[in-house]
Formats: sequence, C-alpha cells, structure tokens
Amino acid sequence: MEQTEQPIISVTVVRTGGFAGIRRQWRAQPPEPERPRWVMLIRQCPWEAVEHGDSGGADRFVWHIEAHLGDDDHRAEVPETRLHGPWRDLVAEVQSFEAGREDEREGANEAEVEGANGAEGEGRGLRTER
Amino acid sequence: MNLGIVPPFLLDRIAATDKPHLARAARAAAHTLVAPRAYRPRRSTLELSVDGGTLVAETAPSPDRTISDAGGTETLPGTTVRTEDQPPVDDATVNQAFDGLGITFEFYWDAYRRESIDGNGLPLDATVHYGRDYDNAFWNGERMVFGDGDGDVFTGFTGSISVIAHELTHGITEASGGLDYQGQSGALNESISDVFGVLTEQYHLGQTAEQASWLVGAGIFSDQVQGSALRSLKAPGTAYDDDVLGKDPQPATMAGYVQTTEDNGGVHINSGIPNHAFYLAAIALGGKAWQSAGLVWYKTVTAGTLPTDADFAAFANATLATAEAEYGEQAKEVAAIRTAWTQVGVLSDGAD
Repeated sequence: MEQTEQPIISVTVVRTGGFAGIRRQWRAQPPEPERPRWVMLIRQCPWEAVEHGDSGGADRFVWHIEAHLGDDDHRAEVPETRLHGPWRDLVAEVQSFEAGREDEREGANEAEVEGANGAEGEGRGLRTER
Repeated sequence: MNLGIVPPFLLDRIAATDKPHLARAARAAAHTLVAPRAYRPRRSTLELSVDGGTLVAETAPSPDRTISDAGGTETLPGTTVRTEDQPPVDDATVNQAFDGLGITFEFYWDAYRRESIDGNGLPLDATVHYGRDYDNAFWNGERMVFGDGDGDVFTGFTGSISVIAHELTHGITEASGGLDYQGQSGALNESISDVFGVLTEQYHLGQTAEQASWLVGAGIFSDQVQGSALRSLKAPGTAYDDDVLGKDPQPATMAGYVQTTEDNGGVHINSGIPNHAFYLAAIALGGKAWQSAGLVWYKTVTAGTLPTDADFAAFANATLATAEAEYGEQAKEVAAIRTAWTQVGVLSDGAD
C-alpha cells in the first residue's frame, strides 16, 4: 500500500497511579522510514473496545495512551491488568523509542565531555522524559 | 465445614437484596460468602514470666506468613520461598517482606487488638520479585505484591515498613466495607493506608508524634533521585523535587485540591489533604500518635458504618462522632480533630 505522503505520527503514553502515585510520560514521533511499522502497531490496538473491568486492586497503574495518525486521533485509558498484547507492544515501543533518543543525546554529551560518566550501563534517563 | 456465625442461606438472602438502604450489607454479605470458611488452626505465641512468686503465662496471636517469589514474572503467586516456621533465607527481599508483615501484624494487634487483615487471623501472603523492573507495590485483594523497582528511580519496596503497612492496610479497609477507589473516597482509601503505614513505623521505632518523620516510603528512592520519600504527612508537596520525576504534587489543604481524571481522580494526590489533617490532630494531641488520633481513625474505618463513597467531609464528621463517643463531646481529642479538619479546609469554622 504505497502512500504518496506519510502522515505525521505521534504516540504519547502516560502512566499514573501506582503506590508511589508518580506520573510518568513517554512520547514517540517516529521518523518517516519507521512509520509503516508504527501505523501497524497503532492500528492493531483495540481502541474502540478497551476492556475496563477490574482495576486489579489498590495502587495499580493506569495507562493513558494517545496516538495521532495524521488527522486520525485515538485515545484510550487502559488499566494495568488489561495492558497486554498489542497495548503492551505499543507502550514498549514508545518507551524504547524514547530510550533510543536518550542514548543519542547521552552519546552526544559524552563526545563533548570525554569520559565524564565512565562506562556505566543504562542511565536513569533511559526510561523517562526529561 | 462452615464455621461462620451467620449461616450461608442468610448471607445469600442479604447479598441478593436490591433494597438501596441495604446496599452496604449486601456487599459485605457477598464478600463474606466468597471468603474461605474452612477451619483454620490459629497460631499464637506464649510468653512466660515470673511476677513475684507467680508464673504468668500470656498468649498473643501470631501471624501466619507465606512469602512467594514470582521470579521476575507477572504470574501470581509464584513459588513459595518462606513460610511461618522457616528461618531466614539468603534472599534479603524475602526476609524484609516477612519481617515487615510481622511488624504490621504486631502493630495492629498491640495497638487495636486486631488479629490480621480480617480481624480473624487471615494468613498474610506476599509475593516478591514481581515483574521486570517493576516500579510498584500493590494489594490485589488477596496478597501484597512487590516489584524490585527499576534500579534508576526505585531500589525496591520491601525495605520500608511504611510501604508494607500501607499495602496491608488496603486489605483492612477492604475488609471493613471498603472505600471506592475513585475521587475523594479513593483519596481517603489512600490516606488511611498512609496514616497506618507511618503509624506502624512509629510504633516499631517507639516514636512520639513529635519525633516521627511522617514520611511514607523513606529510603526506597535510588540515590540519584532528589527526594527523601514519596509523601510527607507533615508537609504534603515537599517529599521530592526531582528533575526527572518533577515535584511532589500533593496539596495539604482543600485550596490546592487537584481535579484530574488521571490516577483514578488523583487518589494519590489529594490524599495529602486528609493525611495532613491526621498529622495536625496527632501533633496537637502529642504523645504516641497511634494511641490518640490513630485510635479514632482506626475505629472510624473499621466501624462498618462509613459509606463506600464517603467524601472528605463525611469522613471528617465520622472521625468527630467516633472521638465524641470515645472521649466525650468536650474532650480535647474532639477539639483537636475538629481544628485539624478545619485547618485543611474540609470543615468550615464552627461546623461539625
């Protein structure tokens, strides 16, 4: 399915609740070559049929997921107990997209300040948005 | 074997009623029907001492703990790794969960003569190492579940007594009739868990209200986070201020009440208001907080008369009614609690 102009795609994932009650947010705006894969990731989620049901008890996470496919907007609130299958895949992709961007930024910083941080593994910025 | 005092056929009838004024009783009956009713041997400890020439034997109930290990999966309960009669294992997380449950059990018994979550010796079950990099601890209606944290923000949850007691208290609130986990009733549910979380820690450390930190979850942040704990009952909104996590969003008074659809209507945010009311009452009364304001809160939560959709004002008035019944209308406890709720803006001046 060839498209002459790919729509702008963005996905925002917000996690609220949990015992700590700390709000976390991740966002992805994939570049053009990656977009067909993201269209698939977004379209395979059951946006119109989110199962709410049992939240799973006190202190569970609630996920707010929002996707923009050009003018086509999707929004859903998914309790932690329902975050599986395509929802989980989408959230994981958004988180690792942002982690990748943090890697690039940290790489750039390290090039500027040589050896400042040593050769540690993952930094804490990897799973978060600054 | 049925050991319940109310026969199942009667519970069935109550559970099935559609009379609005019996809605709470119907829910309680339904809850009782699904609860295990099989015979359970009870554990107790026997303490022997000599008082003058007399041998004194005292018994107290003991917890019945089982810790399971999910091994990084999200499958519950996981593999049993330590039961009540077993010695400590090599895994510190398992032992911390085991000890924390024991301390919380002892607190509720010693302070309020409550035997476990249901007041009837319910075994205490917990699962550790849940999920991968899982940044949370929760009560699922049956057991306490602890992730390990991602190492970047959280280093684990079992090291904090206030966290363990917070989760166990969710079970007590539920067993007492419950508070809907949404909006103000949800924030009360959270606040009650925070209040008894910090009280368990204060009891364990033998602290007075003045000596206590009033922090929930001290020590669970990694050292990369700028913050001392998750929440502060003494000064809501000041527990952390971090470039990644942002600032502690809790208000201390109704003037800062946060309207939001996130977090089930801000249950972990607006809980700062009743949290601070408790702190103010406890400080005004002084001494061991679990013996004064804590006793009033405990009796209010467990009386079985609180509507599941109680808002802050309904809860505040319920604590006043409890304090009046306990100490008399003119008692300093009643005055301190009324002043506390007024200071946080839940009750207005002169109102009950």
